[in-house]
Amino acid sequence: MEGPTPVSALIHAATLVTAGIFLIIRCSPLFEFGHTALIFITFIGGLTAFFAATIAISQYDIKKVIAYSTCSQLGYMVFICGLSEYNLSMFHLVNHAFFKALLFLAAGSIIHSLSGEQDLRRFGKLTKFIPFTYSMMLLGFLALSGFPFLSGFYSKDLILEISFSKHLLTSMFSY
Amino acid sequence: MNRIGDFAFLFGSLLLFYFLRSLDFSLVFNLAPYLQSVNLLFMGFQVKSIDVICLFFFFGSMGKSAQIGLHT
Repeated sequence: MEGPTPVSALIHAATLVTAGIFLIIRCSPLFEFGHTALIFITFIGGLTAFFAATIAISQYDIKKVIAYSTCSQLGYMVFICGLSEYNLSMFHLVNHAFFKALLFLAAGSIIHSLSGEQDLRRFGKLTKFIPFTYSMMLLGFLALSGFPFLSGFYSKDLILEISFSKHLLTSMFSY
Repeated sequence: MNRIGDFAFLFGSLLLFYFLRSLDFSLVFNLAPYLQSVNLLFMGFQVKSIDVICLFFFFGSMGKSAQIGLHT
């Protein structure tokens, strides 16, 4: 799913790809009774969080890197749904929407100022030319990686903590 | 991939309608424990109907949210 950068900021961060997570959260009273389905959800979510992150490592296109990191965060949201913490999944969804929209818009600014160059290997020394975009991008990535006192820290750390503290086979796997 | 997920979601909704004759949220959520007691013959296995419905719904969300197996 590719598009112009503001469009992908909208669909990847806030609306389109999180619709599946919202379906699970909205139908949570139904999912809560399907124990086998919950186990399946946790395994798939944990696998996605790991695989999408490894795919993102090997990409060179800046927008693809951000899109795969979105996919990885969706894996986090899915497996925390599988561990029956739906409110936390919604919390991470909202936080992720904010900082991922920031990242996409900053990436759009970089691509525009380099006149359409998207390859990460051909970037460099952008601090001198677009310092504001640089600082915003840095903030976004710190929030995404769960740096303390930024929004990603509160939701992501709670997700990891809960998946660690529940002594189930699936939570051990996802942790 | 979106189409496969949509199809799974449609199939889950149809199963839900087959068992409860309704797709209303409040009614479905109240009758969820009933679905747990009803068994369904799915591909030769006796399974709880709620598990099948939840799995189909989850396939729908897998297609939408690009989870593994249904990603691009």
